[in-house]
Amino acid sequence: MTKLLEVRELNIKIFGKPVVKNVSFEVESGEVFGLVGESGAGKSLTGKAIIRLLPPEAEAAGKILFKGNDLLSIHEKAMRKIRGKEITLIQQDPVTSLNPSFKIKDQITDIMKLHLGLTSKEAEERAVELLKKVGITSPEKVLHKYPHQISGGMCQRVMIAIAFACEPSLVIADEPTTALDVITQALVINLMKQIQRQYNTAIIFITHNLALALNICDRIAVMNNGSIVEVLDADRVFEDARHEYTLSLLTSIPTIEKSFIR
Amino acid sequence: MGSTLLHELLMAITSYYLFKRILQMAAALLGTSLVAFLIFRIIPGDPVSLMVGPGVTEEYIAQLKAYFKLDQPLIIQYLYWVADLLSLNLGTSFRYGSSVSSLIFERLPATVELVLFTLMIAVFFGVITGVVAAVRQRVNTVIQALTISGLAIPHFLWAIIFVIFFAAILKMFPASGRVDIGVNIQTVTGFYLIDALITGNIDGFFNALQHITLPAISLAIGMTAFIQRTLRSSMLEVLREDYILTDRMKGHSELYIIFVRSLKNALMPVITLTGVQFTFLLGGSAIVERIFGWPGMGNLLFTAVQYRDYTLVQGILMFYTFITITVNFLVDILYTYINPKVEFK
Amino acid sequence: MNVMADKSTRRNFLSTVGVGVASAVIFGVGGYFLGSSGSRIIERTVTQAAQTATVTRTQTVTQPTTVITTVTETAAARPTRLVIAWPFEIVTLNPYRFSRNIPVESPMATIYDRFLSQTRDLLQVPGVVESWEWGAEKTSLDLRVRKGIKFHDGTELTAEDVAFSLATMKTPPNAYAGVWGVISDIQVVNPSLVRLTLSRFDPSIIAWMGFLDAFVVPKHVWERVGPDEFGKNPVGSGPYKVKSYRPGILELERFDDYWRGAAAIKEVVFKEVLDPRSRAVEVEAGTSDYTLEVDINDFQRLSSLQGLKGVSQLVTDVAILMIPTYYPETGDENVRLAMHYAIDKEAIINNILRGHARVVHTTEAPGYRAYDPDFKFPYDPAKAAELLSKSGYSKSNPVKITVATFKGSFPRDYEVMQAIVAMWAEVGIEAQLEVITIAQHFEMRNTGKMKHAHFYVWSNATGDPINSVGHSQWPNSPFSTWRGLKAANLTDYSGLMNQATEVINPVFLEKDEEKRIAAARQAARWVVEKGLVIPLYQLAQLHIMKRDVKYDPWPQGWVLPYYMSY
Ligand SMILES: Nc1ncnc2c1ncn2[C@@H]1O[C@H](COP(=O)(O)OP(=O)(O)OP(=O)(O)O)[C@@H](O)[C@H]1O
Ligand SMILES: [Mg+2]
Repeated sequence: MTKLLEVRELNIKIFGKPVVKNVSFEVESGEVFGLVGESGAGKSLTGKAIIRLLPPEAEAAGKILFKGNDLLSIHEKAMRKIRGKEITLIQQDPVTSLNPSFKIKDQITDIMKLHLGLTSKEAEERAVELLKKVGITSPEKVLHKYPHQISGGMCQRVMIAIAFACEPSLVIADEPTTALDVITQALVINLMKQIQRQYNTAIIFITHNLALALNICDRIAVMNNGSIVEVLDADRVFEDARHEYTLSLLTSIPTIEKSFIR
Repeated sequence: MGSTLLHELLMAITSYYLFKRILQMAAALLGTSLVAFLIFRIIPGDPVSLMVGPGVTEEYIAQLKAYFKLDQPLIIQYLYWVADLLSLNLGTSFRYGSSVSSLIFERLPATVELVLFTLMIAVFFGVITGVVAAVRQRVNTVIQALTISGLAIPHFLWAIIFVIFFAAILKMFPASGRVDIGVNIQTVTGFYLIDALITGNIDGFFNALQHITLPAISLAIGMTAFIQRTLRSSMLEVLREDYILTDRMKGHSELYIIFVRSLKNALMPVITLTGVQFTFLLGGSAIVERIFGWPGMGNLLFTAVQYRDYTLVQGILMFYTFITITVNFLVDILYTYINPKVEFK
Repeated sequence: MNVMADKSTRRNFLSTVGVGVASAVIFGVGGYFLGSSGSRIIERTVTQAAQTATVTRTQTVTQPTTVITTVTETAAARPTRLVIAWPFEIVTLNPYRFSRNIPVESPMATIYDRFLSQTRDLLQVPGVVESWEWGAEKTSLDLRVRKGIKFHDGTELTAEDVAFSLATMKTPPNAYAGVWGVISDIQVVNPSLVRLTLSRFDPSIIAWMGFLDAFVVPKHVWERVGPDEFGKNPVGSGPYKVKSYRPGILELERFDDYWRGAAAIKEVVFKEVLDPRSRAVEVEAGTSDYTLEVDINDFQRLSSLQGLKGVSQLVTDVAILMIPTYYPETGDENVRLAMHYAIDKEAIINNILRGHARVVHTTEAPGYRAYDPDFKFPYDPAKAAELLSKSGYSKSNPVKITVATFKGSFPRDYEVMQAIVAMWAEVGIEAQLEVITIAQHFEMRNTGKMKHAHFYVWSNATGDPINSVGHSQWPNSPFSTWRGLKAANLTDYSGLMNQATEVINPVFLEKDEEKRIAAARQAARWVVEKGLVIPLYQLAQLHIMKRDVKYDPWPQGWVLPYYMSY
């Protein structure tokens, strides 16, 4: 495996207040990398910094090397070629992350037309395939609907389809299942893993749920209060965890889930 | 696009919604009819004394009152009028003796043309400045300053300023009228700009354009400011939405994000506002019409009120109500077209 | 309104307000500059006007009181079109339908002919009706119709048309049907003779034949198209025919076969511009050649401009104070007369109306049939105070009254009333001003709800006393202050109502014209001496025209393009 992404000394300030401090980690191609921590730890900001979509009030410093280029310093135009094509982002709430004024078709074909140079027709055909792949049984129908006309789980499947549409090398999934019910969560997670394997896509999986992260990630970074406290192999968490904070997270996982993880 | 709109319309027509809507319309018209009928009968002023000159006899005044049924109890007068309304007859003007509907239709195109042109200007500039103000902080400062003067100075004051500067002093624009005397535009729709274009009368078009510019701008300034402010704040809100982040993460350009992905969502309150403004301008353009010698409904309404021309005032009010209701209806349809979340309920 | 709807920073807000205020100041200063430069010009021309006025002011209404010109005449090719920026709405050209005051009917008087014409001296002279003759008892009237008059469609005007026009006019809801109601029968004796039978003697019928709606329409056209359509495409026999009529713009074209001879100017346009300021801009910018009823300040300023001239023409509009006697205060003759003595009319005219008016002493202005050159009611504040003290009032114990006025309906109406209130205060009359509309005025007059005194402008273009002292003072008229008193059954504190009826009766009933006028002169004097009305002044109409337009405005207030030339 080669290094796909290298985050070095990332610092993010909001209105001058540091919220992400000296964060460094690496992600290899095809790897599922977990970013775990409780609410407010700075996970989302770190994710957004990578795709360079921080809110205007946030300032980022440090280096984010993606395939050798520093994403924090390249030109906006070049960055736009990377967004959607190389790196995509899946947000927590699938319902609000789809544009209410446009049909699903518009929102899934646009990215392919933009980066793959497909015609509307080709893009639509591919969209149907993608939707099938994310487990939507009547994709033609869904394509002609507006987001509010389909369920939350369906929306997240659509988002996954969008995120993987151009076969990017990195998907940042920011709590992609938190807004969904338990059964749908499991389905969506499986689906993502499946597609990820097929395309050999790297995923940064952001979650506050350590058990879930342990289940699907190759490695996890534990974040607390804006800093990464330790990075561990998922297989060896119980053995290797040293940091107090990690340990406290581990003890909070119910025993049934622990056995499930194994 | 057109077919979608048509489709929405058909849906609306066939649905229960329309039935409910018609009931609402009927209730609104009934309410207006009562208010329109009573308002001038409550405030003092006797139309018959105002219409006859000196030299008539007491008997004649009685005769005239009987002719206009003013000698009847109010409720009977009202019922007569409503009966006429139901047969789509707005009655005969006291002052002009002509049928109220023909008076209205003679003067309406001028006003509607002015109002629509005003809206076009206001929406165009309001949307552009609103968007720019939302995304460019520096320009925003200038725009907000202009907005304050735009809102602080009422439209008739703009009209007076424009007449003095551009018509009297600079002589860049005509002071009054719809076209220069001697310019003939064949009437098709009654809207001179459109009529000139479809009859291929280019000179006439530019002449009419010159005439409509100042009154339309005076009316449009305040509205532009309103639209600008409304759009700016709704735009700022939309730009922070998750779905815009999604669109951004796809790699779309900023212009596309702003003018396509955000604008359609941010436009919602602007559409409502424009609908309201349209009906407001219909009546509110009266002073500006007067200043620019614009031969529209304004002048008619002025004299109708001044001379207590009951039937004419009532007719105009009913007509305005009807237009207001219709425009609201159209705005709702447009709304559902732009914002699919809103459905006819 | 919340200017800070969104989260701008404080500094942003301050700079925003800064620029906003700055732009407002710029406009404010601009407006001030315009205003002040305007008033400088006025001061200059007013002195000029005053000088001219002393020279040209005469006792007849036939001459303009002041003519202000400041540029020398320049010769140019004669234009063929004259555009009038018109102060009234032009809504229908049906001559009978809508009620009007005098100037409003000018477009009609240009398209149609009246039965009789009127001279500048307010006298009725032959028009379409070549001569008229009273029958026995003056209850029938023979009208001889002039031969050779053509309508715009080429057909000849005959007695049939005259009879038809009269019959149409007397049918409600035509505005003046009531006036013509006195005609009980109309008979076409032969193609040039119409005989009218009257239900009673009416001395004013001759005056009405040359007044307001007394226009002749072609029977065949009217019957074919109906009144509404006729109002859009009218056919008359007047000096101009309609070239095109759109809302707001009436374009007229010279009628070459006009029986008095073709007009001098080929095309005349009436353009509806209701706002006085905009009318001023129209002539200033040169898009109109003529306008009237502009503001006094604008008149002074425009008159001094290159290429324009102003003409101030006294017209048959007389400003009066109407005094109902159903209040104890105004029931007292001492109070009524004191109100009159205390008013310095000259001062009002010079200071407020800038000379554009003339003092009157009765309801009958110079040129009216019953004008009385020998009667003067002086300004005498000492006398006023003396009269008041007789009734127990003084400056320290003033009589308290309320006075109704308009604001902006007539030139400087409100300012004039403010001045009068101040003059009254000097002698012991404490008056409170109340602003009302014309519509309210009628309502109050008819229902006995007037204040102690009402400012009003009484028009009488016929010059016949019936339409001045007659209708304004006769207790049997539906227009006098007495009407409300009668309608509401109020007390007449003056006790003069019956006497007023007797004194004014001959104006309506006397068949001998000379005696009738003499009686009217007496009556006009009597009502002033009894304080039942306070005549103030005769108003001037202010006209602005291109320097090369030749036209003497008419005292009736009409604007008649037929008499205009370049
Ligand atoms: N736009 C913003 N304005 C102000 N503060 C912000 C903003 N976005 C994030 N923060 C703050 O930065 C810190 C980190 O935020 P971030 O969204 O990265 O947390 P997170 O780890 O994703 O938590 P969660 O599990 O709640 O999503 C938080 O304390 C949050 O309050
Ligand atoms: Mg988060």
